[in-house]
Amino acid sequence: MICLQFIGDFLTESVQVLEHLACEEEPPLRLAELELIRDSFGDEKSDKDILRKRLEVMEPVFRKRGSLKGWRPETLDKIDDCFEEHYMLDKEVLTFAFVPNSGGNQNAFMKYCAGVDEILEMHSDIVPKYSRDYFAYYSIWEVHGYAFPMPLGTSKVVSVLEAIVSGYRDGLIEVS
Amino acid sequence: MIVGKLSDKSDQEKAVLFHWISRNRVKDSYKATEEEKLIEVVNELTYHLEEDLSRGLEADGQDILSVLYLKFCEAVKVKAEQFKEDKGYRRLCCVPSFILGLAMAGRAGRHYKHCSWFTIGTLSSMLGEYGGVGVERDEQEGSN
Repeated sequence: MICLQFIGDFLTESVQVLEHLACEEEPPLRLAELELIRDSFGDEKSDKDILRKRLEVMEPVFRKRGSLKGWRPETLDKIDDCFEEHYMLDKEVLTFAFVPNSGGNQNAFMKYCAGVDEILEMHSDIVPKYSRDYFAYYSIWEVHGYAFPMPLGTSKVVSVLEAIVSGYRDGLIEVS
Repeated sequence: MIVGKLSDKSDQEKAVLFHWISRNRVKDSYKATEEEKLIEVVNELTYHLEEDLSRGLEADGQDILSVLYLKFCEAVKVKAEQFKEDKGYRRLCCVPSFILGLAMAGRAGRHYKHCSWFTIGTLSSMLGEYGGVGVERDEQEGSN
């Protein structure tokens, strides 16, 4: 049952993230600065508290919701394909996917972020106006409570997570 | 002409009319395919969910579902009752956070609703024995 709740919650959260990425308010930090901060998070020597402090202005705006109508199915399909390209091989998920502290997972996520950003840039006329900026903020996974880099919850991500989680049904426990 | 008439209707009336005119009313045996049926059910629940979301409420704690998504939860109960004989759909309705996730996905449109796992067969297999246990427990509680 916890497995199903997990998938249900993940679906709900995934759609809410898409709404946040579609926020129509101009973000206080823009793409270039957010990418710099994201890179700094990867630097072992960086002061994470300072970086988190700099990002504090983003959270209240990011929490606002834009319209899901800003996301065309074709765009989401492309983002899904980008996940498949970096996290899957021959329709099978690679072993490092969603593994905390895995170099492979980290590399895949970086490539995935670059791919998604490219899609958003290429289709800038049909995606939500500030989606590149908000995606860059979303991709700084360390500040969103995730234990590892988390791709957007598009359909293939949901199906891969379901397959992984259902393999560990007995090992799942509910925490509050 | 239909479009002209629909423009006067509420969103819910439009949705109902749209489903009615798009239904196969010629062949008695298959008035909707399994895929169409699932999408119809999710669309209906998504409509109630949108109503709840438009209230803009926020909540924390145990009863978050019934507070934030009151109309949605009521609609799920009605659906669970409606699908008493249809184990697949009833299973879906008996795991509220799961059906909420599906209705949320329904809001994002075709990307999720037309993907490979969005079929009653695949969703039922995701539910596996757990959904069955939930239904049986539910029915036992109802009879006590």
